[in-house]
Amino acid sequence: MNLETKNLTYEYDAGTTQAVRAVDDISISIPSGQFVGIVGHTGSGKTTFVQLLDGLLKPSSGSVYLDGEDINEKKYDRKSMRAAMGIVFQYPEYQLFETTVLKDVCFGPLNMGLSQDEATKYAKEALLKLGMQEDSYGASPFELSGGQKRRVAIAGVLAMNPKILILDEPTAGLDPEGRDEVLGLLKKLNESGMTVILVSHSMEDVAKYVGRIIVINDGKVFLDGDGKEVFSHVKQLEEIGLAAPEVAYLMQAVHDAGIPVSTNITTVEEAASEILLKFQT
Amino acid sequence: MDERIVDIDQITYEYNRLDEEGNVEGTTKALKGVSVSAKRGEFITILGANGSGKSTLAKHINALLFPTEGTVTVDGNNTADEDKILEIRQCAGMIFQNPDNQIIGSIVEEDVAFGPENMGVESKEIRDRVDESLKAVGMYEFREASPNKLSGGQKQRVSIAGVLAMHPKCIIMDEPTAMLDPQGRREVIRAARALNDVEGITIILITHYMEEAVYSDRIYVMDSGNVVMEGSPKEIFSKPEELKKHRLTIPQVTQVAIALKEAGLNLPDGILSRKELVAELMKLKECRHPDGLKIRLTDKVRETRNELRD
Repeated sequence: MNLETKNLTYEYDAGTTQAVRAVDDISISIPSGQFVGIVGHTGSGKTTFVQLLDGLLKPSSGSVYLDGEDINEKKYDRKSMRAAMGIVFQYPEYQLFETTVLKDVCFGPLNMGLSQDEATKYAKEALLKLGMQEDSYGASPFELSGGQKRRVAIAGVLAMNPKILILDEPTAGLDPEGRDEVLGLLKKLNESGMTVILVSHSMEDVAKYVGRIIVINDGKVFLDGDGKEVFSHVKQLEEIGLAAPEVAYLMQAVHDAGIPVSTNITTVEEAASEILLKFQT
Repeated sequence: MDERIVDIDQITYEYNRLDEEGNVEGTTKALKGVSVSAKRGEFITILGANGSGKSTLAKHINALLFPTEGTVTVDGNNTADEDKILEIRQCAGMIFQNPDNQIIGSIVEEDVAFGPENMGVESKEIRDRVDESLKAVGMYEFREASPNKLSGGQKQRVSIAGVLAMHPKCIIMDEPTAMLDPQGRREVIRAARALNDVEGITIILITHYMEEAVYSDRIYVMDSGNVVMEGSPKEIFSKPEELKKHRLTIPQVTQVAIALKEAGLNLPDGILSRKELVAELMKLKECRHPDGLKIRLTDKVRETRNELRD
């Protein structure tokens, strides 16, 4: 499913002296099957932006189109849109509420009108994809560790089989292995055709996993491109409170020391091979 | 004076699991005989996977939790001694993950004044402490701002100033950067290092970002309620395999250094900073043969390089 925005604008406290334009005239298109990273400093408007994409906020002006249809039109079938787009909020584990893991994950599909059997089937599939084994399904979600809770919460959205999955900082507070597990899963989901939109503060993570990075600043699109393009603007990124991945700084330092390596490097593997190439006979 | 400001000796911590009716179902051991200590002025980092017991341990230092077995001593006071609890909490301040849950004042300086006010410090002294603390974290110019207009990193620095104003000897930071953007993370870590360097305050930092652990004096690694590794950053980050077993990783610079080493470059273990790696690479460069300006390559490097070219 193709997602598109035209002149999308959102103002908090519109019409008052306190009005803040959180999203300011964003027009972008996210074709089906992309893996998009949305980055920006705290307060840049990225969370508001994804909430507009998901139809949770109504734009002050401009539109969001899903497969060419305006999702904020009166006649639009919001219910089927809800099924097509899943959103995982920040700290989704705070939204767990059921008495067992399986019941919690079933909540979404049941709510969509599926039978208990179907819901259970989808829930189990989703839990397995997230590496939650069968023996934990009867446990109370509140007994699990932070990383496990996070996975159950993501499974709750995944069980609805969305075509487009939006996640707001899904790895905040997870240990490194947990971060890699969650991001690796998103990559797999993306490879199986799902559009994945990932809001993140970790430049290392987006550089490693994401195909396209959209940088948002002051509610506007500041940069839009693949990792190489975006991270070649280190100075501008720093000015707006962001950074390049740690390896990019390393390559800059190596370069400044007189070893003529390329500085447009965003992952550990690239950095190592680039340095090795300079030590050849 | 005891050299150790925090001394955690062989503590276990058990809590009861309750079923839906509130009956005890069983007990869970979150800490299983943990010993951790910090000398005055040390910068300690605690690493560990989610659910490894780091936060439970941290809450013991501030007397928010009490050990089932073993003792916790903070600046010579046992946390089991009820008369000393206020003294302990004043000595060991705590910073949590989410700055929004820690800020209560409607103006920055009011928020920072809350702690000392609560302790019954005289008002003139409070003024001095608030100014001092805000300056120490670089937030003095925002003293009259409303906290909700600040960025995450700024808010977190205000929280730190609030703890500083109580004149603690030790600050425990439980994932203070988890919710922050790169700029905010840098600001908070810089503030923590400055407090340690300049003011001599003992810092105990809990984090999931390996890069933040590089500057500490010592690192403890926890897994399933036990301390499983202890050492300098160099020692700890020289063992990537072992860290991986505990669901952790190593800083990116160290990852690059290890990849280069495995490809045959003659580099030492435990390279932690860009500066170190650059210096080592320059040494290698100088080793090149004067005529060809080339280094002698092992077969393995040549092989890897050829693979890279393809």
